[in-house]
Amino acid sequence: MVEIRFEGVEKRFGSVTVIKKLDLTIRSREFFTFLGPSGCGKSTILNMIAGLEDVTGGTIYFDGTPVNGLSPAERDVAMVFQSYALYPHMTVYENIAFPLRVKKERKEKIDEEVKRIASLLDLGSLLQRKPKELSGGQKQRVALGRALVRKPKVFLMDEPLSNLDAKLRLDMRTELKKLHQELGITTVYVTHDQEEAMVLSDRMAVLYMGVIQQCDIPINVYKKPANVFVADFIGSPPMNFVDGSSFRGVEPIWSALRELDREVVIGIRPYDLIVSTREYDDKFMVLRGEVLMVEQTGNEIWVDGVFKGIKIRGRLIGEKNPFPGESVFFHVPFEKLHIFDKESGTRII
Amino acid sequence: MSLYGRRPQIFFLLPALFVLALVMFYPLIYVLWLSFHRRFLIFNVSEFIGFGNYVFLFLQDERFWNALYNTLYFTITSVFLELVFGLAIAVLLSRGFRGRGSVLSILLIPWVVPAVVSAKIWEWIYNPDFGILNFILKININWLGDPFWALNAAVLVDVWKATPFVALLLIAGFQTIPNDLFRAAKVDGASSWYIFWRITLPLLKPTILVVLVFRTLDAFRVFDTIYVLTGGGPANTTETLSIYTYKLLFHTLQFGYGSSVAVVIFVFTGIVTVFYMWLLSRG
Repeated sequence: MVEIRFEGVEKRFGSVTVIKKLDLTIRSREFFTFLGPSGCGKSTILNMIAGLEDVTGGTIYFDGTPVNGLSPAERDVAMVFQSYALYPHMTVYENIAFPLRVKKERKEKIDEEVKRIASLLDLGSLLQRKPKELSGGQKQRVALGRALVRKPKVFLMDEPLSNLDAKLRLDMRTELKKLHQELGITTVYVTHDQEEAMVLSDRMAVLYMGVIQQCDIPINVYKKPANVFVADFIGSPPMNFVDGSSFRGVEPIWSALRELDREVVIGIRPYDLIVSTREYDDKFMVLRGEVLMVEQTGNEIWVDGVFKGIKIRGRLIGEKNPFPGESVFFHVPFEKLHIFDKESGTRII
Repeated sequence: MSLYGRRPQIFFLLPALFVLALVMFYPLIYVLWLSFHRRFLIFNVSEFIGFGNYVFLFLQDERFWNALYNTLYFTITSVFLELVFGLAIAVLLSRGFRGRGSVLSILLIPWVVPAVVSAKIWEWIYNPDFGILNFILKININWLGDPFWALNAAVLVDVWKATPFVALLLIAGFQTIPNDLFRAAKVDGASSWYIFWRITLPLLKPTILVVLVFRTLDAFRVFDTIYVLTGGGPANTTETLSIYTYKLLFHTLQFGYGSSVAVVIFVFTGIVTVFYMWLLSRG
């Protein structure tokens, strides 16, 4: 299997720089995800790996060999598109067989491989159908099959699940994970869905404005976001941000912040911010606020409140729902605070 | 009960139906009726002869067969060439590039020029003594006067004129093919030729059929271009069915026989249309 290395890779369209000096190694057999909002350049990176777009600077290596000048065919990569991109005039069988027919494989070999893939993805009964006769999930599996059939060196997926409905998306997610574990093909995955990225990836890179903000295993990205953007982007509901100066008088945090001697922003995940009508002991930092609204999502109860004019959201455990306007205490353990430099947005603690 | 019964909407269709009947069905039926007659205006002859005209037409009239051959030759060669060139242009223009809009506009000029005007232009281009074609090629060919070249010269004019139209329709067809399909095929390892034959062409098929319907019928009924260029000469080598019909009807005033040739054209275009419609409906 293949290791993909980016060395100072850059992509410009005219005067617009989409990817700025990307240095990164995607390890062999790894499931690697680029996560970011739309327009951050993640699909561009995928296209550059595929060879569908040229790099305008730097070099991409497969196992140490530069591939910049190679066509998609020569790179031996396979790609799954968000739109599935099934050939509408061909049957499922012909769609899956297409990459092998391009390679002019023997007929018996093609037949054998298509049947193997069909049984792997449970497509056996659909082989003679045209794409328009398939459901979204079935199309998705055909697209996977077409990508898998020639055992590519690298597997590229561009938001492959975003056209599926919620339940099917979960099923296919599991399926993808299982496939990757079975086949062990280096996989580069692109999505804007943080949950997908967290669940699927061995490692992930959060991308914003063409720059990698953080690259790590998913749990580290969640627990120790490298900057305000990542902290805000990862996690649902999104993290609370409170300006350091709002903690004037809240001890012992205020003294600690003064020791840092710089302006900071403090991030607290709503999950870590416990709401109660009574004040806990001093293992917690306590923010006194007023309730705005209570939201029940099924397994969690979120309380929106105001602390010194700043909206914050916390979690209610085992207490009666407070009323809007009621005064409550928001508790957070000290070790759950994320402290960022106010100017640069980077993590301090 | 209303004044018009239970389906008043039918009455709203009547005026249009009446006009259509007047300008389409009546002439059609009248031509059919005329075709069963021997009718020479100048000799004041008018008699019913049943299928007599058709028997003569198919069994004895060599000029009819000549005109049919010319028409088929003209139709097949011109439509084939228009499709090939139109497709090539469409492939080139389907890629976005700077100035694509202007190229497209310029390309459409031949299609916009009226057929008689373009035929007149080409008549001068083909002129053996003063024409620019001979001047550029540094040869001396009487394009419109030579039995071999005349019909081909007419084909060239038609191709020049109709190719932009074909290209325009095909470009529209191209735009209905999702770009991801081409990207997917590239990643699957297909060469440009392979993609063209296996992806582009099959997906363009519906558009190509529409183009064929338009162009075949137009070419089969060709009149103005050739009439202006050569008038059917030399020695009837460019005489198509339309021109032959016109001459029968309005030069020699043989209303009966001329009508029977017109009916043959009608039936032939009808068959072609039905055939294409069948192909289209098959998907």
